[in-house]
Amino acid sequence: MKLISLHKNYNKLIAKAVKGNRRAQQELFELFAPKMMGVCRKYMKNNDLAEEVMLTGFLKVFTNLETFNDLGSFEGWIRRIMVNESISQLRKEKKLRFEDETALDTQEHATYIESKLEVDEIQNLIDALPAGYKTVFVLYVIEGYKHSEIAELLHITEGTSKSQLSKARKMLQTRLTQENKISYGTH
Amino acid sequence: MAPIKLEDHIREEFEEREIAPSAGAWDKLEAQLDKEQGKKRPLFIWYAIAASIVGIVFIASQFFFNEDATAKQQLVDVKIKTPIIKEVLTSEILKTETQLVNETQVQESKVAPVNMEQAQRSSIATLEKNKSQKVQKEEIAVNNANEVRLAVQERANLPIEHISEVINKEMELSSKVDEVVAAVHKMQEERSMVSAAEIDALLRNAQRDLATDRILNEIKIDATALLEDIEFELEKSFRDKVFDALGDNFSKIRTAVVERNN
Repeated sequence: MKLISLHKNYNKLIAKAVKGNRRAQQELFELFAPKMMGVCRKYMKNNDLAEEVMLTGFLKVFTNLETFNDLGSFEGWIRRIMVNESISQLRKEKKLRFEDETALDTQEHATYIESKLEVDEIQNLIDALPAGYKTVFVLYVIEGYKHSEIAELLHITEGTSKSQLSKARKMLQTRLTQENKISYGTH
Repeated sequence: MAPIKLEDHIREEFEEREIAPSAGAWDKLEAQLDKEQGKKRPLFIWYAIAASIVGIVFIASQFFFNEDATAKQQLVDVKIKTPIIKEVLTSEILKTETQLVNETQVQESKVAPVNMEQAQRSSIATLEKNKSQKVQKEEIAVNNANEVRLAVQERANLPIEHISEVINKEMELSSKVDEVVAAVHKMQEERSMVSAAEIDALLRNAQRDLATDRILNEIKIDATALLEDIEFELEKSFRDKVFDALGDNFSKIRTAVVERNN
């Protein structure tokens, strides 16, 4: 019930925001900005950079709001814009360099940890990854993109996407092993 | 404690993660939006601008049209004023001449036969005097011009006809004067003495004739003036209606824009 009423509220706000109503735009911004900061922060190295990308993303959200149709989720639509904006920013900074290589070992085993990690810990681990690895890892693991989608988005081959993911995983494993966080128990 | 799958854990943790943007984030975005929308104004603003321009042009054309009409009216007033003054003058001349004749008659009955030449000379003098009074009369005429305007509007449409009419009236007046003078002459020839009562009667008759003519003419003018009056009223109310409709539409647009902005 709550979800339905929220959705209806969005529609009203969206309708007003499409016409350029500043108050409605601000309301939508305040509703989604913190979450979208979280999305951008996964790709960008710090909060300031994340905010910059998030603002550019919102500018695109509001200037293209009339192209949004009610069929999809509004949050999903904004999130996609944020992801694209993050990637294009990384590309501008020439941080996205992929060596075109085939997957080394796609038959990987899942990594297990002993205890839960704090969000900041996870963020630190991800920040430490090279931009290419990080982007593919976040897209695949967190956003749930398929390799084909990632390949299209990053202008790389599916093989490259897979190998980047594999390398990212290995790097994370190494780091967690160093910190004695990996669980080698039965699973 | 059971081992945790790293990637599931990361996903869960990040899925709901929120980071508060800085305090001035919205202001920055608003500034960018203003800049962006300054370049590409929404369509409705252009519609509003177009509607305003059309409205302004319409109102302006209304004013120009009205100004034209008033100018014409003023022009006509000026044209007509002179004949009116003439009319007034003529009636004044008539009056003074009547007085003159009366005076001469009184002198005549007392002293000697009338010297018509002298009478004529003094009548010319009176005319001159009247001319000097003309300026004053013109002032009166100007003051009256506004009151007379409605009555005059009919004339305005056919000024030439009416000017000739006024001239005719003048001619009529002078012929009446001639008539009276001729009658006095005739009486003088028949008898050496003409009684004041006789001349009075003649003058009264002439005045009555003229008054009747004037009344008849006045009635005619009143009818047309009335018609003109109605036409003016109709035109005015139509203009008012147009303005009212315009005003309504403007307030509608304004309310729509305000509501939309809210």
